[in-house]
Amino acid sequence: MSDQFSLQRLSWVLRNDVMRSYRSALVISGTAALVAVVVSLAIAYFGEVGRTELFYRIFFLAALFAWGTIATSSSFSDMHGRASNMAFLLLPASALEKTVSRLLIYTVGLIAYLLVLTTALSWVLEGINTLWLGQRREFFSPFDRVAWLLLPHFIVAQALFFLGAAWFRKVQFVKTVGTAIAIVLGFSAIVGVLGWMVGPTACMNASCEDFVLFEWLTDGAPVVYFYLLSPFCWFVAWLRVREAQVSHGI
Amino acid sequence: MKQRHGIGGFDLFGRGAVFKELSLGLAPGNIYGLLGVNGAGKSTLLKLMSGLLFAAAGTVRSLGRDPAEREPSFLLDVFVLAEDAQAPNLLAGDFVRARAPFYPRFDHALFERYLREFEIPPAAGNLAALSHGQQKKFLLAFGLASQAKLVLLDEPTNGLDIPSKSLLRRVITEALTPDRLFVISTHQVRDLGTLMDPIVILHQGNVLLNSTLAEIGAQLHMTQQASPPTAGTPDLLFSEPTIGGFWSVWRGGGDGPLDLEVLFNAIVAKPELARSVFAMTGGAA
Repeated sequence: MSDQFSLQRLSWVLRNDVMRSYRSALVISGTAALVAVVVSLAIAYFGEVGRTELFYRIFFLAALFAWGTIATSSSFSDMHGRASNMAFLLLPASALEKTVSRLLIYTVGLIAYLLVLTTALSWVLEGINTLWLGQRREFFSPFDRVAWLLLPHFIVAQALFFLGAAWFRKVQFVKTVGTAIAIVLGFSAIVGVLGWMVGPTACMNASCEDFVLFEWLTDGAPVVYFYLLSPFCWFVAWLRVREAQVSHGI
Repeated sequence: MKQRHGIGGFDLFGRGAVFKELSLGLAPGNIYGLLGVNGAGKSTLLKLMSGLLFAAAGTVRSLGRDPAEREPSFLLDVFVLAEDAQAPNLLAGDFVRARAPFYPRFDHALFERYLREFEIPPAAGNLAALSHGQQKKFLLAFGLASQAKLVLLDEPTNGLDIPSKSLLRRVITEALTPDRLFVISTHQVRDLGTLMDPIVILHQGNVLLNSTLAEIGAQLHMTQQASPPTAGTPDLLFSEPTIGGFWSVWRGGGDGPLDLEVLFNAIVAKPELARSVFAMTGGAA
């Protein structure tokens, strides 16, 4: 069995990680479902069931982005904990396997779980609505087009919070948000200054649409955003896991 | 040839190095007692040996590997029981189902036997709900059942009740095999004194002593007497008051018992003693 990566060992790490976190996941999803039930019943009480067809889509996306980013932020909490980091570091698996396991749980695992949860919740709630009011909304489809269109954006956000979870030892969520805002502001300032310095000259000599900087930005930004940013964050997170020591525990 | 676990000289962290010019080799088939005053670096040494800490300079080799690489095939042969060990918030059965597959030589029957001996029910419920001592015993049972070749125990008797301490001594003695190395870092030499041999004493970033009890007994002996020995008595190396009398350490072998606490106090108080007495055995680092 390779010391770098083994599918069998990855499956063991996955099982270990799922066992570590499934109870808190059940509590959180139970709370979210309870909120959905209360809101749904309130809507039904006021007789507006027919006008809330986006209910489950909103629930799914809100749960995905809110829970997904917060949960991802704490995905390496055991690596940073003084009492728990020894068990994490000494688990006989490679840093790559430990990183991939957490990555799978908080991307594929969380998305699949929320799709199933939202679908099941829609069946239960619309069953209640049908029995109670005689009318119901559409069931949530796990193949909802809008939900799937937004998933790539979640993957990008998740990657940022995943890196923050590995990088920062505490208050990972707040620090990740703060760092992301600082980077965006810094990048915007650089682009703004560059545009102010060379933009007017270029626009006077040629059409602004021909300005090569604008072309790079419009062509390159989506590539960076959708294809490069996430792998970069995951890669750096892996490097961070590799160099973690027990002395980093807080 | 037996694999030794070598620690080359290293300068940990750069700022205020814990170890300076430290060189230590440990042979399997032994239960080493690692002694030192607070801050001597005992826990740090165990963490370096297991890859939990990285040396800033020098070399550390455990089981013939660089522990800082933390390769899975290395980690499955390492078990560390920290002084403040805490079991995770998991059911006992879930813990075993989740962790045991990582250890190909994990012996479930042995694990259950250890649990019985430590009087922990196999279905112990949530591990986090157990007392600190029970958590330590559960983790120790798991670690020994994993058949790890390098077992590092940091203050293992802290938090254990009196029956468990004697049980711990017996379990560790039984678990020792020729290819297995135990290192026990402790201040509780009276709890584990009959178990540990050889003895390693760390002091001020260096190894003052690395000798078997037989080697120590061949070089010096101890006496306990009601009155203090006359200062300047030939071969008297060290003396300290104890309850009801005085312990004295004398040059030259003898048949009397060796008190590890007195030995430790003597060597730490007079580091030159270790150098002059044990240099000839080749055991001292």
